[in-house]
Amino acid sequence: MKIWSTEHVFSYPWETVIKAAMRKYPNPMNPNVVGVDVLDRNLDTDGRLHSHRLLSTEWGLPGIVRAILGTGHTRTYVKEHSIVDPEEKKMELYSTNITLTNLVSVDERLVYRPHPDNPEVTVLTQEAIITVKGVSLSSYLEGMMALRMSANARKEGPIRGLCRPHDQGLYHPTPTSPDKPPTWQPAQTNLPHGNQPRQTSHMATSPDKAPTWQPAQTNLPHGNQPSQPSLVTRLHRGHHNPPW
Amino acid sequence: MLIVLKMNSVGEDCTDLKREYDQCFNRWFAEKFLKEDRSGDPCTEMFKKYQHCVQKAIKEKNIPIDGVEFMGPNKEKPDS
Repeated sequence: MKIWSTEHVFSYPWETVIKAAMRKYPNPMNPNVVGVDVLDRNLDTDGRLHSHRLLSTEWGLPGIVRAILGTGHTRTYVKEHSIVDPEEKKMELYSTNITLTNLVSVDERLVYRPHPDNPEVTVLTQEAIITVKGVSLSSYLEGMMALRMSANARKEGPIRGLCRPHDQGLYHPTPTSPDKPPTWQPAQTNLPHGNQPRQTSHMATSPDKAPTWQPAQTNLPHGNQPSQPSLVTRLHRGHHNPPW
Repeated sequence: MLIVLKMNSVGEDCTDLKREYDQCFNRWFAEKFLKEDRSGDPCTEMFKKYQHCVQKAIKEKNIPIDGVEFMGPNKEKPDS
């Protein structure tokens, strides 16, 4: 089992980021998501909006992965549950694969919140637990997948780091009207010390017991102001195949 | 030329219903919900039609949406 977490900062207020996050697909940075459907949506007694969605994903599985997993299926499905609290300004999103579950488990948790020191800025914390079951080299595959997710997340920004390739630059939504889909623009990475990447990714191998979700530490230095986002839109970066 | 990308539904026949509902929802979400305006949801009927189509597609494609809980403390995922 591998646990991976990271953190991103967007130079937009929470509401703007949330509106874009709800309309994240289609997304040129992740063409693997080919279908999104809402299964259920309701308001709870605290006024929070719950959405249950089904994502269809189409992977180009590398030959070696197919050989190891023993499957040629490339259409997989992910179930997603999001909770938006407009009063507390918090959006949580949980997702898990519902196909290939006898082979692999990828569970993600995302939390979007305003930055504690700057309400015009939003922090996204992502965590993922990856478990490959029942095949040899499972630990190796898990490590590979976690590394890929970490690399992807450095590129992708507001999008879940799951199998999203990426090299530099976070992508974030620009403000749009409700009728228009958001456009994706690269954000300036908040680079606090000597231009090292802000995001922290750490992986830990745990013994085979059910994981607990620990909040990632927010490592944003106090008083650091985000730099202005670039106006250049880069939509067509090369991307790698997902790790599974 | 600006190419506007649109997302599909899992059921090919449901895509138009989905897009209609999504447009209604996105507007309500941005203009009402996030501003904590609780005046009715204008998308209910649209959602019902869209849902009916999606549930049918899920059955036809045998997509295993039931019985899988999100992993968390003390949760086990059934193999499928």
